[in-house]
Amino acid sequence: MLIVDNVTKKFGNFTALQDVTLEFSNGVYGLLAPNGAGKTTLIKMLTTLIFPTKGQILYDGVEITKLDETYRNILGYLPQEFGYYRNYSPMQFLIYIAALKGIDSKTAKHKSLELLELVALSNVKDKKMRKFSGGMIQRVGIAQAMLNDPKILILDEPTAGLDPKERVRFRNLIASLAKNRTVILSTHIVSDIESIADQVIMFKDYKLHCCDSPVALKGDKFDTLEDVFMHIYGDDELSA
Amino acid sequence: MTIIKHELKKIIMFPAIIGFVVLAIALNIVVITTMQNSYTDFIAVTSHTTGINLGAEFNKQLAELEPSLYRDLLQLQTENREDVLYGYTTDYIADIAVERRELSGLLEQLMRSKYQRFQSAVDAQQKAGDSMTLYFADATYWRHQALFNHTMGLLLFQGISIAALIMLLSLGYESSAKTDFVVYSTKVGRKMNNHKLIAGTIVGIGVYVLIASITLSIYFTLNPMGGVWNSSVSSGFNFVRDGFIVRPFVTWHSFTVAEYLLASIGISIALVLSFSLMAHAVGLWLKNSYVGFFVVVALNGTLFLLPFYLPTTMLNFAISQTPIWLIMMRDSWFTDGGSNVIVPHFETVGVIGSIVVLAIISFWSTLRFNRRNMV
Repeated sequence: MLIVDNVTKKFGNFTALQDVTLEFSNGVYGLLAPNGAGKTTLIKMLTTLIFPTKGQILYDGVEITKLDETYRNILGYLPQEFGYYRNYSPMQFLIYIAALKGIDSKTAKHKSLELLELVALSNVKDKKMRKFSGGMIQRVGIAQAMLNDPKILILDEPTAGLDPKERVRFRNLIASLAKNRTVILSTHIVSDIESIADQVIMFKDYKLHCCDSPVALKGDKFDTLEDVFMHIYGDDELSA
Repeated sequence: MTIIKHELKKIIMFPAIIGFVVLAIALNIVVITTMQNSYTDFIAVTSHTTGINLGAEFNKQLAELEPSLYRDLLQLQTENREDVLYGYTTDYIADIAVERRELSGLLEQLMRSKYQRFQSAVDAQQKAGDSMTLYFADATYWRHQALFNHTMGLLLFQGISIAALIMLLSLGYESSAKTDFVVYSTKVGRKMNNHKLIAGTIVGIGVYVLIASITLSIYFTLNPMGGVWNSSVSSGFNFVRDGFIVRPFVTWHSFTVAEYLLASIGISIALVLSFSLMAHAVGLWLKNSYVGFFVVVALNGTLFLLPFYLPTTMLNFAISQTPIWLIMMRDSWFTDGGSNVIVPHFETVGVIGSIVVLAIISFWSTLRFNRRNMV
């Protein structure tokens, strides 16, 4: 189990997150908040890219920075702005990332082919990525995140820049990957998570506002998660 | 090892690196073609017959050669040649150094001690007859400078520049491709930079060796050495210009030209390594590779200029042992080094010291990088 224990993150005088406590077990967690609310800050702390100013993040009771590569070995991460090597093919890129994940070359090749099939990129597996669409690149991104069959899959705004058709396809893909693992999906688009999230986490004023199932959040008062979002953040924050 | 292989492949594919290597070799060829000389070519061939040790036998062999302008010239330069190291004392060099640098106390003591020890080296080489070897006769200084100062200097500047650039491009690669978040969140994490250090160093040294091999092959094809390879670099024909004073070129240990070349390449490789380490330390603080390169250049420019503005203290002499100063003093490697250095074997001490210090700085930068927020 992954526990965020009373975590605060400050950048100089600016507080990005304050006193956040969360527990993640298997299932899909949707981080839903407007841009700049601290979603990416939390995600970067969960991926050891930045460190809490106060508090700690524990995996199975041990601080993740102490676990070091043992923790990162069970992690799959698709950042908000997924970078790639333009001159590499998806196959070359996946084999490279597999090496960084400590996967032996034989397994890497096998796993890469399997994942490219899953994300429907088999037909372009040896083509240079420089001509790929945003949707295709995001699919390469999800494939690289899945290479090590992660117990924790973290996706930061995975549908950003995708057209509605690709967003639906991506959502279905994520739902299919969610079995027997923790999936943390950050978005400011309500429809991305409404149907697939087991728990929705919302931040307001850099603090945890709520963490509950979509059904519980809607309660009797709201018809949709979008209504909840509008109620919390106001009309002008509504993105989808 | 797999990661290093991937990193090596990435570096080798940098268009800037490939372009640099091609341009460097092209420039070196142009420079080398200006260094040809028919008299030294004659000596190179003749030395197979005459040998390289001056004396009666040498004179006899030379006299038996077909008469020519160059044979006569060589006879003129080698007959009745006196041993310049016979009775040569180093005290006066110490006096000049002490006076020039206005040394006193410990610094004066160290400088005089260096030249006392150097006297033994001079005596040993005098006994071994090193100064009575041919090298390139009166063309020695020019030919020695052409190879060990100009050509090796060109190679060295190219080597350190490319080594620093390779390391910085390698470290900045993920940032420029925006893959840093993905890479640093994988199992290897920030240890990735250790793999980049190894790969960058391998390619940096490899590129230097490649450029040097091609350049020197062309150099020695156009400027054959013949039997001169076995001549001593401390030949009486070789000399050092020390300000207004000209004095014999003497090394701490006896070196043939071939051995001196190999030793110089060894020091050059160590300097290339030190620039790789320097660039690694800088690259861990800066995301932009080209800004990093500018910082490396500025840092070395400052280190080069600093001694001119500092009083003559131990710090001043310590700065003279830094890589950029070792490069600037490349034509004095393995010699006493004149008044700029206070320790014997300054190039070896300097290069080992630099590598140790830069490795410590690089390690410290790595520790800092590992605790830094990736924003």
